[in-house]
Amino acid sequence: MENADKILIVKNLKMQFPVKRTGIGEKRKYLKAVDDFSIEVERGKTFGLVGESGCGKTTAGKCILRIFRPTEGSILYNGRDISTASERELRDIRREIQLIFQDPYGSLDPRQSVRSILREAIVSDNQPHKSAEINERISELLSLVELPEEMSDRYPHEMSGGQRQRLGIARALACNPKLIVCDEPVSALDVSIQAQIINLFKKLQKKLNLTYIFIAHDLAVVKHIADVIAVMYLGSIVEMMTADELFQNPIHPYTKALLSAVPITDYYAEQGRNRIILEGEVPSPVNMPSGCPFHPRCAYATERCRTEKPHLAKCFDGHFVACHVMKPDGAEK
Amino acid sequence: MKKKNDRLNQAIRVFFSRGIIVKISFAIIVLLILVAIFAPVLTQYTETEQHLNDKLAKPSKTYLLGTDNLGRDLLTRLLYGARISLEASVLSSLIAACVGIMFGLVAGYYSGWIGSVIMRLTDAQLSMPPLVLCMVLAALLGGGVVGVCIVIGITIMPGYIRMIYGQVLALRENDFIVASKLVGQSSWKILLFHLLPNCFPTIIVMFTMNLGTAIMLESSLSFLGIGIKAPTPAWGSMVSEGYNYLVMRPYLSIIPGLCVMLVVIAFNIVGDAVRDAIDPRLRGKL
Amino acid sequence: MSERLLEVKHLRTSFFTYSGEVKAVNDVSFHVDKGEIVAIVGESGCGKSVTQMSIMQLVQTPPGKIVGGEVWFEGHDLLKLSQKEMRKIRGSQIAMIFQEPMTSLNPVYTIGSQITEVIRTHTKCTRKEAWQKGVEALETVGIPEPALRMKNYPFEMSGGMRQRVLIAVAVACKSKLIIADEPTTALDVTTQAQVMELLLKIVKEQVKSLIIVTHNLGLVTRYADRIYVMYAGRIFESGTTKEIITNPKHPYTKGLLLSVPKLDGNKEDELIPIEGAPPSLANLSNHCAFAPRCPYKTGKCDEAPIPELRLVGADDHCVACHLLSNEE
Repeated sequence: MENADKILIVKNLKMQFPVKRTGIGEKRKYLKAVDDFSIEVERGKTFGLVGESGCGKTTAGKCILRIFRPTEGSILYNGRDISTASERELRDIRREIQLIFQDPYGSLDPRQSVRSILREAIVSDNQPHKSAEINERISELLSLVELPEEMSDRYPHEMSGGQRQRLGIARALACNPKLIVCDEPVSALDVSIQAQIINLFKKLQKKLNLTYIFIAHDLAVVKHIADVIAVMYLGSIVEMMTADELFQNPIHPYTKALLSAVPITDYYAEQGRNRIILEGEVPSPVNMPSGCPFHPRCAYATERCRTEKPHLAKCFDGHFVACHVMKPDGAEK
Repeated sequence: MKKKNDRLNQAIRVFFSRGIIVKISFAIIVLLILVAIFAPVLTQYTETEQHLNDKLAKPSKTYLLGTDNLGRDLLTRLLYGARISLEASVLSSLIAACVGIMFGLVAGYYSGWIGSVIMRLTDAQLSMPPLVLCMVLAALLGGGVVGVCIVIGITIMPGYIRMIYGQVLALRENDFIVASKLVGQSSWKILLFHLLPNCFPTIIVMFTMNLGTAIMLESSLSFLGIGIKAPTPAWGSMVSEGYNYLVMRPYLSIIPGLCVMLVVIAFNIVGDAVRDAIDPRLRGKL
Repeated sequence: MSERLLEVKHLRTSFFTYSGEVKAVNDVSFHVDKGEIVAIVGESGCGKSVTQMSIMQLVQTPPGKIVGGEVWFEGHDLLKLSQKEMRKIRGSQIAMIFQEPMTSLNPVYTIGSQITEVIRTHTKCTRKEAWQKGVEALETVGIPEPALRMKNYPFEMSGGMRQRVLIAVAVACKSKLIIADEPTTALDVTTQAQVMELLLKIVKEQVKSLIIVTHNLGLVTRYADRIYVMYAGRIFESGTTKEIITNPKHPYTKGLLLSVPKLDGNKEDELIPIEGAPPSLANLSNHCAFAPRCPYKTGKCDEAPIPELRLVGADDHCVACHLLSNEE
């Protein structure tokens, strides 16, 4: 893992948003969307980022894409720190990092046809392009995402959800990206279509040696596509491990609760499952609990958990946990 | 593209299905346009021709609607007045649209101080009564058709600025705008090719309705004597010129006034119907 | 033999639009017994939500219209009742929980006023008594500090909390049947678990029945007693959860179960999707609606009329498929 080619290294990323003051004289409150976020993404692999709403996974993705400018921390893309770069400085690598959106409809201009959407993506690299070249590239992209050629004159409202998502992927591919951030790309799709799109993602990764950062709340989906998975809660990573380890050996109490909450289509397994039902609600990120963000809901919380925030520490090869209490084999310390 | 034609046909179908009033209004506007184009053919007189022997003549075979206090044929002036009204309203609406949309786009996309400045100036303008504003500007810019059009254009402009500003603020947050930025599209191209086209439905409706407002304003200005100057026939000035003869020849004021009213109502109704027709929710598919 | 609470017979609901008749519900029959949890499973556009709205006579007319069938509940055919009579049933006998808890609650009134309004509509009691009942109901659904919460507005509560409020309303009115239309789709996974466990508890303790409409097969595996699988306005397969999940017979059900990502799967596992897309309900053919996508299709499927539901297995396991039913 240490010698592998890392396309992206994020260190101590922090992103906070100011919140409107409710009264004069009150201290300015901040919403800490992402805190102390550090990951390393290997080229050609998929890094999964899971968590529930408000955990900061989408914000982290948008920081990597430089849609937001992070409050603190460094983002090393191919060794170059892009966390503080200006728009002009980012121009030459802008197209290398792309985004696939959650809502396939909202991400397409309703007034543009398929052809026009793809053409815009192709010619925005400010290089001269011949018309024939552009048309060829459009055909190539459509066949890559398995959309028929006849689609090129259609408009988004005339396409199904799965087709729109394929178009979104084609647009991202038009820029010859190296790294693609996929923000919940299949959650808005029907079950029978999800499988088609997941398979497409995997096929394209092999063919074009793409690296994915796959953001999702559906653990099962992430398991089928990710090599490494990080679980987030209230802005911090609580556990990070390979995809197999997630199922076989979860350590953090939140990860365990998350896994047990996902119902599976295996009748006998379901009957015998130990269901961990968490108490309470996810607190607001504006009023973050002290110490470990999970402690108010954790069955194992100690005094130390209330005061001291745990950092991600290695417990096995490739398996990191941020918890004061849990031992590597899952039992308490 | 075949698909675009389908949408147009659908819109036209919905437009005409809105009831008889819409059809009548549409007919009135078509009539207005035809009259404006063919005015010279429809009448033997010119609009400034004076027949001083036949001052204030009653309607007859020679003068179908009678003559005014300078012996000019009322019908002829009415027809040429249609031309003026249409010219003035279209030109001023175009001026208002072009300048207003530009400011609205810039204010909405580049928020921050540019946006604030533009919007505060717009607010300031909106706090002035339109007619008073018109009068001040007319005094500054003088008469003539073009001058009047600029005056009315400036007066109507804030409506566009506000409307487009609001639309752009909402559209700006859409994912497809973010996507365009990510593929490297420049800001002005995003404004022109993504934001502006998505404002078209609103713009078309605003434009149609503003035509009515423009005619109203032009008539008001002409009535007050600071709009289109004599002897060019404008319905508003015809109303004011006929005022002195309201008792014996009431139709000299009433008929031009009725024309203004009918045309303004027609534009408003058609504007409503256009908005309904363009609304994508009514596009047939469930 | 359990008492039958709800029986839907040959329900048909269509929407009449510019493009023609959209047969959203095309001959659907199912039943719910007392104390049962029944799941209606299908993807978007299969007609499962319209079916529930038809039962409650909440279909927007026009353009929709219930064109046929019967819905028997406590000895009455609900479809024959007037709107006034239906109002007595809605909320009190049959409660509905929707997917979007934000829009189900009126944002300008407090939770308390909305709960008391529902209680007072259906039972004779003073405002104070209704308030008290509301507080008790909130307590039953596990909302902490219920008396304080009654004064909250919907926007002050999270999605999971709001869903609990809707369940509380069902509890307060002592409804016999709860229809939950995608109750947890908009919620996080852990909140989903909380809400579902709560529903389960209420159903078991108070002997209510629950119809849960969803596309989440895992959810129904865990919670449902019986499952109906819907596609293109019809029921394709029905049976106990155990039978359907361990022994699916219809090609669509099989395809769904194979294409759902599993928690114990990994990157190397190939997901087997169902090719193609669901048909438009405006252009239904007179043959099996799934035939164009079916991997087992034969020539017969393209010509024969729409297959009927027939008994094929243990515990009332029924399938609508030419290849499987016991016909010549």
